[in-house]
Amino acid sequence: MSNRRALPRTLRGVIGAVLVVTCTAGVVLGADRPVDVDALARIVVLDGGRQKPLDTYARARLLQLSGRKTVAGTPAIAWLAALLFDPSSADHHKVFLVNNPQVADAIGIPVRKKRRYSYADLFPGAEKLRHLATRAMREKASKRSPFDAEIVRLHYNLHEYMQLTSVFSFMTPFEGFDISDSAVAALLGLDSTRQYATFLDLITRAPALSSAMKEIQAKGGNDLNHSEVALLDIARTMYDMAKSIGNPPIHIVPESSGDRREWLSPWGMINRYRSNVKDDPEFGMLLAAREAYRAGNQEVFEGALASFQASMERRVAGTLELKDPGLELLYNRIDPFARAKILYGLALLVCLVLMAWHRKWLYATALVLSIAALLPHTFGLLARTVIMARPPVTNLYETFVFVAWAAAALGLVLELRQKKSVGLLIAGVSGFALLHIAGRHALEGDTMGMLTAVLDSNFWLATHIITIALGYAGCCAAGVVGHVYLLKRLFAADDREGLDSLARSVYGILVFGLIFTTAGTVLGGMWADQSWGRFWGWDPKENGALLIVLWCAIVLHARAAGMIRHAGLAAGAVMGLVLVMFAWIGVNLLGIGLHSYGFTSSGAAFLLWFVGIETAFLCASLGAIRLQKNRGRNPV
Amino acid sequence: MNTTRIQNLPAVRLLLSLRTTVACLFLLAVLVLWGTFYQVDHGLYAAQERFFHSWILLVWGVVPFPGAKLVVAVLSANLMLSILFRFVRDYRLAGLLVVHLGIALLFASSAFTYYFAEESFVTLAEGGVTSSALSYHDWELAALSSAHPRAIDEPDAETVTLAGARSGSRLVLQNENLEVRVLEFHANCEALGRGSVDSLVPKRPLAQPAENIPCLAAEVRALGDAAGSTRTVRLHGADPRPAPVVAGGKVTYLALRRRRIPLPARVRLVDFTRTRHPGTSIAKSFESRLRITGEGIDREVAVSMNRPFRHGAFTFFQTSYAETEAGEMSTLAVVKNTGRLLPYIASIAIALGMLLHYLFRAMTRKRKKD
Repeated sequence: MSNRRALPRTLRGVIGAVLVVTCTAGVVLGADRPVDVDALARIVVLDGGRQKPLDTYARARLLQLSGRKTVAGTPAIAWLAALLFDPSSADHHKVFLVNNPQVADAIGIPVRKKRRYSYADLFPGAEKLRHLATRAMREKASKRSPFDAEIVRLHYNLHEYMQLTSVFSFMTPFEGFDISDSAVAALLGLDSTRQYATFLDLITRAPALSSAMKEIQAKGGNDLNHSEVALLDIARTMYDMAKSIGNPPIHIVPESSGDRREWLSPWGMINRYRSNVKDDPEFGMLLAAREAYRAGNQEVFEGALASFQASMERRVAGTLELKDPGLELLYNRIDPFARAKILYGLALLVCLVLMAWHRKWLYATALVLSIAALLPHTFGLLARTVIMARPPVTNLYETFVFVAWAAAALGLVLELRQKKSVGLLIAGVSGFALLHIAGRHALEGDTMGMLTAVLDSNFWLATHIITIALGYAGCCAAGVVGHVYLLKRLFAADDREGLDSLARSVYGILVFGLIFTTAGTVLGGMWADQSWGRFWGWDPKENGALLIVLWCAIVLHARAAGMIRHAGLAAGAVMGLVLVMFAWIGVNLLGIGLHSYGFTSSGAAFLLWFVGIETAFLCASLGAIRLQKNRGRNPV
Repeated sequence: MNTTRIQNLPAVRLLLSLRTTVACLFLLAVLVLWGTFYQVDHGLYAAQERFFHSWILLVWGVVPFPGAKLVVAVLSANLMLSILFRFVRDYRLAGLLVVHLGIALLFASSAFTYYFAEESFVTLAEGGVTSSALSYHDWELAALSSAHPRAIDEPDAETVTLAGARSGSRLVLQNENLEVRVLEFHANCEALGRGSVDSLVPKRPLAQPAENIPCLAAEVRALGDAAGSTRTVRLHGADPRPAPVVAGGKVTYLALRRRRIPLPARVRLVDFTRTRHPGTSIAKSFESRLRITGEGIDREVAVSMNRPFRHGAFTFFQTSYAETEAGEMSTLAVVKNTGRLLPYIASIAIALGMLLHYLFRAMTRKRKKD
């Protein structure tokens, strides 16, 4: 009795803990973030064809470089702020992930025990890295060895990093701009005690430099004195620099010229406005923010960025709609899928304990955890739909997230009907595993990319992809229950009622999978008919979907024909899971066909392991069941 | 003979069996998987021909294995027999009956498309006009009126198809009074020679058959003049100059060209626009503005990705574009398929059937509960 009275209290504790985790983690995270960087996080930039807050940009770059969302606990935006405004302060941040230790050997830097290197660590090997990457890039990406692929990746990341450190490099004194000659300094109106000028110093004095150049030109290049030679060198260096730099990231100020709209970076503004750049209000505000950051003057920093934002709104008024970054910032801050993954993982653990030790409070905990996981998961999907104004199923990452959601939702619906923990297991396994795989796919950068022309159809994305994703979710869920059935058949064959119920679940979910995969495949045929002019073309992705349809049909017809019974049905569902993974990931690995996108080399290894383990599981479980049956111990 | 006796015939019993269904579905799944992997090394077209458009395929050149055509034919027979003898007898199976009828219609529509649909393309520069499309795969021998490269597009030229042409084939151009005896024909080859095609070097057909350039070496003589003099011509698909042939006292200019498919209207490319997502090279949209002039139609239409233009049995799709010195060129795929609605009808039947089936089941369950 005392136990019974204690249970609600425990349950309350668990629910409370879960709510605390889901609702307050964002606040805790937010409190850790330096206030000054929050103002920067809201600034909208253009990247990858879409307007996004600088916070998203920072997260995507950091994830791409280091595979992590923070640098030693520092949020990505704070890291980016340091990189932009005070690059040398970021030199020792370990942000370069090097997966292959041979890469460090090859570029001649000490191999670290941990896989992350700082810019300072890599710098001595940069030249060798460039050389190796140039050689590796002669080969097509799909044919590169893992070593070469890693070299190219690191080279590309280092290049991006250096671009970010150069956003305000026109403010750094440069040795190519030697103004130690007092005549040169006087001509340009600069202080000759400074040995080197900055690019900005010089470009804002372009009229004086230009008239001096005209005089030198008039001399025909003869009898030039020391100061004139120095001026000539400065002008040449400036020209080369401006030409080679162009308009590198970060594209922060929209600019219209005729029909064309372009977003300019600070360097792009210099190249566009030349000596007049000093009169541009936004440019001035960005410089003020930079100075304030370096001086640690938070008030001025925030003021400059607020003025920048207000000025930007005035600048584009009537010509361009600047996106409100509010929802995306909230999405970034909550990080819903990471949170959902943890909660699904916890639910799964509780579920596993529950299978061995059934207690009501454990069941309630697993149920609450699963529902709590589905909340941020649903929020994440809705937020992405609103931010991108399209269904959240446009790339491999999003399909994993969506199928995880659909499978978890399906599991919970089943659980609310049956209350036998199987639905919870489906939600836990599918949610955790698929969100984990999705996380691996997020490492390539911003997962909210723009669509190519052929995919840009909200109607077909909403119908074909969502339907087929629901079909995949059904097959995944059936596969999970198939595993449970086979294990239960092996270790608890006496529970005939439980086994029958599991078999009925496998059948029902498999039918669900068949219906939605068929509908999705047919809708895909219609889309193909609309965009390519043929309903069916035996493209690998089409074949993958057809394979799942055929497999589900085989299993269901074989059961109707009496060729298989419950164990066969469960094994068929497990095999269906393998085929879903093939159609989903494997087809992209083949690197052929019209649907070929989202190639990942680690995907191949995962798929091979998955197929191997599942095949071994099927052989072992079916073999053991047959053995038990022969010995009369497994009568079902 | 009543239906029960028909049903008891061994062949019918075998064809009607659910085990046959399972076996056919399994074979189809094997073909689909095998055909997908085959594409990695051999390309889509070769895989389609070997696995999906064949009755039988030979493994290692000797072991026969059923091709998709054979499997689908057996499956269709199995399906039809099931509809006749299984589903129609039980009203509770009405939903499944409609589903399976839809599947049968889907099979029929794919067979119809395979045998009767024609796929072709049109490439136009801005301002360019055409009234015929070019076949992707089929080539023809055309008798033209001049040696000028532009003559190759003559719409009313007499032609004879080269599909199935091989050494020894006899082709006839009736109106031109010419008989062409094929000495050599290669689906893909290279021509050597300066100013004229002196020799033809056969090459391995490419994975994308649309990229093959065929060649033909043939003896040409006046029709019905077996004793008359012959003239040997060598023609290459990439050679823009029609070759002159004198036979029966008359000059005819012969050339190989992609088979022309007459369009139901004249098509002019008014404008082609391509937009990108800002600051990227990702294409946001391609759009061709066309002026369609023909019987009962004279208007401008816009064709873009996912927005084709349909006119009768013809559908125009935006497929690609090229930037040349002459300006932007737009390529539109043109598909002629009178049965294009069949898969849609089949899909609706499948969806309705499923709805009906589960409605019945839900009602039955409710009745049982009550």
